[in-house]
Order: sequence, then C-alpha cells, then structure tokens
Amino acid sequence: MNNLTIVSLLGGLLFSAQAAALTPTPAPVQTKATAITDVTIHVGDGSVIPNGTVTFNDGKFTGVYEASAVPDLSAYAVISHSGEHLYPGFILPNTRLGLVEVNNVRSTVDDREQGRLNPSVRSLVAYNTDSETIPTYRFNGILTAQVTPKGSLIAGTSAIVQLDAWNWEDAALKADDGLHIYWPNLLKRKVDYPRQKVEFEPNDEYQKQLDPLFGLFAEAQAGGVEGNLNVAAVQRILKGEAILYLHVETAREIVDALRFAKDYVVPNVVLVGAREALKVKDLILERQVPILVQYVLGLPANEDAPIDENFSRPARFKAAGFKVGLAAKIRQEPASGRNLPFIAGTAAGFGLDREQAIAMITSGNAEILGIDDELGTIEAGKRATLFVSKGDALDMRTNQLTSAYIDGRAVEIRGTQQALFERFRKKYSR
Amino acid sequence: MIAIGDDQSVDQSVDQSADQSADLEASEDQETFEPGEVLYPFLAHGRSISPTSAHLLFRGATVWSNEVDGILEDTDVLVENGKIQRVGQNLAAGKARVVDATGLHLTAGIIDEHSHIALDSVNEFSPNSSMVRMQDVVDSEDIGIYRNLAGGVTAAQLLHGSANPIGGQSALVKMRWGETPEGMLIEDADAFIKFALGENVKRSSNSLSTRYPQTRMGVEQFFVNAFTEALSYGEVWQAYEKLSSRAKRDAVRPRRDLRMEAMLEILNGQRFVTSHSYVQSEINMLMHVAEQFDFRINTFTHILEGYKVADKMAAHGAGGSTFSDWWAYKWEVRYAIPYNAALMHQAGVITAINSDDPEMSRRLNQEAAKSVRYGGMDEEDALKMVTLNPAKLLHLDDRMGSIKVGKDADIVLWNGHPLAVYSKALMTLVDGKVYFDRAEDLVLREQIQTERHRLIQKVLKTSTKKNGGAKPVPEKLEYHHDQLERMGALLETYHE
Repeated sequence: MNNLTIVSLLGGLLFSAQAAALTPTPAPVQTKATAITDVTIHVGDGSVIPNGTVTFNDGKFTGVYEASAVPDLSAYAVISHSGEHLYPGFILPNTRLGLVEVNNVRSTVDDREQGRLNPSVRSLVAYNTDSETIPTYRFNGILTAQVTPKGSLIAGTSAIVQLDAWNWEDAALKADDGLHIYWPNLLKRKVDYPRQKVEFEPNDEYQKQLDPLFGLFAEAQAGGVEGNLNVAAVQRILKGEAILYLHVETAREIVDALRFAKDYVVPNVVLVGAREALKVKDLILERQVPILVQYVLGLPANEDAPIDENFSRPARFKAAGFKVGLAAKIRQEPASGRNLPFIAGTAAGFGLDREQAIAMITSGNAEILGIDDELGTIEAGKRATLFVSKGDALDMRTNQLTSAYIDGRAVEIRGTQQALFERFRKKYSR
Repeated sequence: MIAIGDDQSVDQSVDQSADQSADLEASEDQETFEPGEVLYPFLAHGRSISPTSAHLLFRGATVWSNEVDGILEDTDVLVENGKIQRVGQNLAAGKARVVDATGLHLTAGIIDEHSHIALDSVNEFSPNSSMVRMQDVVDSEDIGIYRNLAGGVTAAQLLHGSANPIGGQSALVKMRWGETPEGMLIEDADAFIKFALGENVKRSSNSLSTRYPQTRMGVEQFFVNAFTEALSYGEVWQAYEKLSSRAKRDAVRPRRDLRMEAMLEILNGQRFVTSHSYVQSEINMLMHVAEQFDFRINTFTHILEGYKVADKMAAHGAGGSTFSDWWAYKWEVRYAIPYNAALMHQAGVITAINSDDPEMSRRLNQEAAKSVRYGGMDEEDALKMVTLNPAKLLHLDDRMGSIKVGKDADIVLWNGHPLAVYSKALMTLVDGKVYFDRAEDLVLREQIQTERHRLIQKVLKTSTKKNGGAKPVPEKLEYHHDQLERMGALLETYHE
C-alpha cells in the first residue's frame, strides 16, 4: 500500500466520521399548501380544538378548523396525524443557544463581552446556526429562541431567531430585539470554601456600580454625542424600538430597577427572574411589567422556604395577575434548554392549568418578546411554525415529535444524538 | 434562619426598625424567657416529635411492584414494624390506619446512587484519598434530606468528589430526617469507594495544575501503581503475621497505612468501586486494570459514553449509573446522548439514573421518564432505574427497591403516574416511618412562618445601629457541579 492510498483511505474515514456528526440540512421553503388533519390543536392561547385541522401555505397559517367546519382540501397536501397533538412551536427566551457550545471550553464560548457598558454589542452576529445543541431543542418542540448575551450591568442586545437556518442572517426573526441589563445585587455573596458556607454582606459598591448605567441613560436622554455607539443603542430603548430586559431577582432590587426604568421613561420593560416579585406585587401590577420566570427547576431560596417554592412560582405569579412567560434557565444552560416543555409541565404539576402552561411557552413568551403578531398561537396569518407530537408535549413520557414546521418548512427533527442512538442500537441488536 | 430580603417590606427603612428596637429594648428586661420548641433536626421543616414506625394499610393503590407481578391494580399494601407485611387485595386492616390510595400510585422509594447532599465536605485533594470516609462528615441537618424526601427519595450513596483518581469511602444513608448522622447510615451495608477518571482528575480546568496525572495515560499508571503498592503492603504484613511470636518480638512491626488498607479491601472483595467516568477509552481502561488485579468494577457513575462500550461493561459485570440528558458542559460529554441509559439497558448492563445534584435529586422520577422519551424504554424498566437497579448496584436489593413482603417499608405514594411530569409524592416512608407527608408539610409551612416572625421580632429588639444590626445567617454551600467547577479552579477540588 503506497502512501497515497493510505492518505485517501484516511480521507475517506474522516469524511464519513464527519458526515455522521453533521447537523441536519436546513429545510427548503414551503412550495405546496399543506393541511394537517385529525389532530388535537393546542392553540397556544389556552384553548383546545379536538379533532381539528390546520392549513398553511407560503409559510403562513391559512386556516384553523374544527372537525365540522373543514373546507375542501383538494388543493392541499393532506397529512393526517390522527390521535396526535399539534402545538405552536415553543419559544425559549433568554438562552445562550448558539453562543456557547461546550461550557468549559473557552474557545467555544461567545456569550459575554468585556466591560460593563455594552449596549451596542449584538448577540446575533455570534449566533452559530451549526451548533450541535440546536437540533436537540427542535427535537423537543422548541422552534424559536431569544439568543441573549450575559454580563454584568449592560451585557448587550439579544436577537430572536428561528431554529433551522443556514446562517444567522437567515435565522434572524428580529435582530436586536432587546437590551439586557443585569442589575447589581444589594448583598454580596461570599463563598467561604474552607468553612463550606455562603456568607452575605451588604454590597457597599451598589450605587457606584449603578452610576455608569444612570450616566449613560442620562446622556442618551440628553441627546448624546453623535457617533457614540452606546448612546445610540440606548436611544433605541428610550424610543421603544427595542425592549429593556431587567435581570433582577430580589424585591428591593426590583423596586430600584423599575424606578430606573420610570426615571428614563422606558416604554417597554420586562423583568427577567424577579423571584421576589410577589413582595412588590402592587408595584408590578401598577406598572404592568411582564415577568420571565426562571429556575423553575431550582432550589428554594433558603431552608425556611417551601419545598416547592420554585416549582409553583409560575402558578403563583399567574394567580397574582402578573403577565408571565417562562425561560428555561436551569443549570448547564444552554445544553439543558431543551427541557423547556418539561419545565412548563412541572409548573403544571404545581398549580398551573396545563393549557396555561402551554400558553406560557407559546403566546405568553411571544407577547413578552413582542413577536405575538407573528408567532405564539395557531392562527391564520401567523407564521406556520408548529409541531405535532404523538402525545402530550409537556410530559417527557409522551413528548414524541412526528413532524415540525418552521415558516411552513418541514424541518428535520433528528440530529447527531439520534444518529448515534441508531448506530449503537443496531450494534447491540446484532 | 433570617433570610435576605424576606419579610421586610421594601418601604420599611432600616432606620425605622432601629428606632423601634430602641423603644422595645426598655421592655425587654420584664420579658420572661420562653424557649422555642426543640425540633429534630433543629432547623426549618424539623419536627418536635420524630416519626415512629407506622402501622398503615394503603388501600386500592396502583402498585408498581418491580417484581415479576409488574404493576398491580387496585392493590393493598400493609406496612408494620418497618417492613412491608402484606401485598394483596382486600387485606384486613386490623388496627392499621387505612390510607385511601384509590387512584394513586405506590412505588418503592427512590434510591440515588450518586449524591452529595447531607455532607459537611466533599473533596479531599490527595490523588489517592482512599482513607477518607464520608461517614465521618454526614450532616443530618441538611435541608436537602427533607427536600429529597419530598421527591420520593428514601436512600442514597453519599460520594466523595472526583478531584482524585482514588477518592474517599462512601456513606450509604437513608433519609431519616431528624436522626443523628450515625442514625442515617444504612446498617450492615457493603463498603464502597469512589474512583474518578478523565478531565477532573487530570485537572483540565486548571491550567496551572502540575499534579500527576495530567493525561488519561497517567490515570491508568496511577491505578496500576496504587494497586501494586497495596499488594506489596499486604505482603509485608503477611510476612510479619507469619512470624512466630518470638520472632515478632524482635521484628519491627510494619507501619499501619489506612490508605493501603482501603486499597487491599478492594482487592480482597471487601470494598466495591463506584467510578466517575465519561469517555469510552477510560471506561475500557479501568475494566482492564481491575481485571489485571482480579477484581471487578462494581459501578461506573456518570458513564455518559457507556453506550459505546456497553457490551464490554456487561461482560465485565459493571453496572452504570448515569444522568438522563446532561451533556455539553465540558468536552468529555460532547457526545453524551440521552439514549445512554436505554442503550446500556439494552446491552444488559444494570442501569440507574442518579442525580449528583441537590435539586435534580428531588425529581429523579422525571429523569427516569426521559428514557421513555429517549430510547422508548418500557415504563416499568424506567422506574426500576431509580429504585430497584440502584438498590442492586449498592447491594441493597435484598431489602430495598421493590414492593415485596419482608422488604423495608421504603415507600412512596404518588398522586399520579410516577413517571408523569405532573406527579408528586404525597407520602414518603422510610423503614415504615412517615418522614414526608404533603399535608403535614402545609402545616409545617405555617409553623415556619410563625417561628420566623417570632425570631425576626427578637432580632429587631436586640439589633441596634451600635451593635451593627442583624446579620444574615450564612447558608450552607450546596454542592452541585457548576459550583464545584468554579471551586475547582480555586482549590483544585472537583466533583461532577
């Protein structure tokens, strides 16, 4: 065997190994009007249509019908999914999907820029449509995501993407949709490793840490210097062209953050986290500010807190009259983000109505992210972004997707993980 | 028990409370001293009276027996003297309290094969820390125990961390909330020890580390060396013991080495290995090392690439205790797939799903259910992965893991299908004692609120600007993998 043969053999091996690891090819645009019949339609607004039919064409829903009112479907490619369940694509806010591939391999991490004032930093341009994590989200019904940077104070702007694209440009549903401020903590958390304790002490720098934020917003309000990228990015928030996301947890910090938003007359504000929101219930109701609940699968704040404090938070916030959406945010994000449906399911086990739990990760999140004119419900005129599951998609026992569509395109549900499963299932079946 | 920000209306300024406390100080002298109730354990969710062995009849439950009978509909289970006394239909209640379990599901208690709750510390740093015993650092006052009970967990293996190729000796405990650390230990349990492979032991996250080993090559050598040393140690002692008593008087008694003793226990089949592991090469390697020294690896834990060598694991006789769907948090779990458990099970490996996490351990039933979603596992087999199979891996299946007459009454009553995302534990029994009851939990919440209020008032009375006011009570550091990863860089400790 000469060297050339070895090289070409090696080349062939490498190629086949890579082929198995490739992410699926993005689906082509919808060319034929499609009807999905005989399904239980979870509309996304809390209502259900048993045995319904959905039609879509050119990437948009054209009709939603009860069994008795189905029109002539002869012009459609008709697909019966008898006994199955149809949902709007689930929407995951506040994720680092596509920004982080492997958490502890630094060269694969693009979620956090240097410095504390980064309003002009854009997550969209770093969003990697070839991330291996994306197919694992689709596999569980998550078809839209808000790709969000992390940071201290002003982290940057997020982007809303659809999860089947050749590149970030094609993926973008809404570029630069929101600015993300990570509010400083009034208490400093100090880990005392030798004693295995977590100590809290007042953060004396709290106001000092906030000063640059107030300074920048004041400058933006006053007009600022032309060509200052930070000022221009903040002005978009002041004009209501993008949403201000305040990542804040405790009651007094929430009050401070909302006072800040009021001082600068920010039109669109969303709280992210806000676990102590019920302590300032009246303020939040008065301001009508929505909340993206996080860490449903998280531990209670302290040992005195009820055991199900986090599980029941979506239900308790809903009952208080808050406008609530659900972010996945649990440990090992973004890899763990695929569990969003099951997080909603857990919330449903702790006081939330099941259809409301579905609504929270469809229309609820769409409204909060400001994309409800296009997504979030099965409704004529909206984007045909949907999936069909053999059973209840909020329960891991029964979430089994049989098809998924993004803008009417039939997307590949399976990915590398399924290919590996098949490979070894066959190996052990021999 | 003062939590940050809690119970303080935002409008209330610190100055105001300080003024109030000054006013109240005057009256304090007249106040009679009234101690609060003693709770077991002495923290929130403790009880003034510890639960005693219950005489209970669960009537009409759907019983997941984990035995050949499978799932038994409309079945009664009688619990007395800490054991399952009878399983059948229309059982006579006698003096037993009857729990109407119609429409409810009853399963064996969940056993977490890999946990770090209820420990004062987790990681020693010597590459061979085999002498370290987790039973010496069991913390019976960890709220994690009660939270685990609320998730149906009745027993766990408390493991050493994974900073070292050879970690410390495990503590096997039951969730006896309110007992002493010693009282939590499972009586007459087999002895286990933690091994670890891969990124953690080669210090991948710490670019400054110079500790040996730095590669998977070195990890193999470390084990071979440690066992070779242990054999030599054994020979020295054997030679000494063989001496006549007269000769012993003149000989120097070998120095006793607890580390070598633990290693010898492994070689003598008196201690069993649970090894942290991820990629297929290292899994294969450790099985070869064990075979070279004529013993078997009892369990590979984490084992996220177990699916690639599951046939070899089955042949070796190793079990696998894995995560349902964790991946991509570090390089060695890049090709971790949620089908791992189903594939290992298919290849004949005794497979469990574990937590390694104080939060996720509260819903291991959901994690088991993910193998129904990923890999189409039969539901009974899925439930066994958090009950009977971990019992087998911990050599406790003769007394735990199934609903069988004579076994320990470690039982969970669920409000629905035990694998459904919507279900929760209503009652959790350990040794026939009701350690968790969701109805009682609601009462405890009220009591905790009252007690918090009482304590806060006391703090307000005694705290002044002069003495610095009330300080937040430090919280216990929770062990979970993210935190340990951050700690790892600082302290060279590691676990997940």
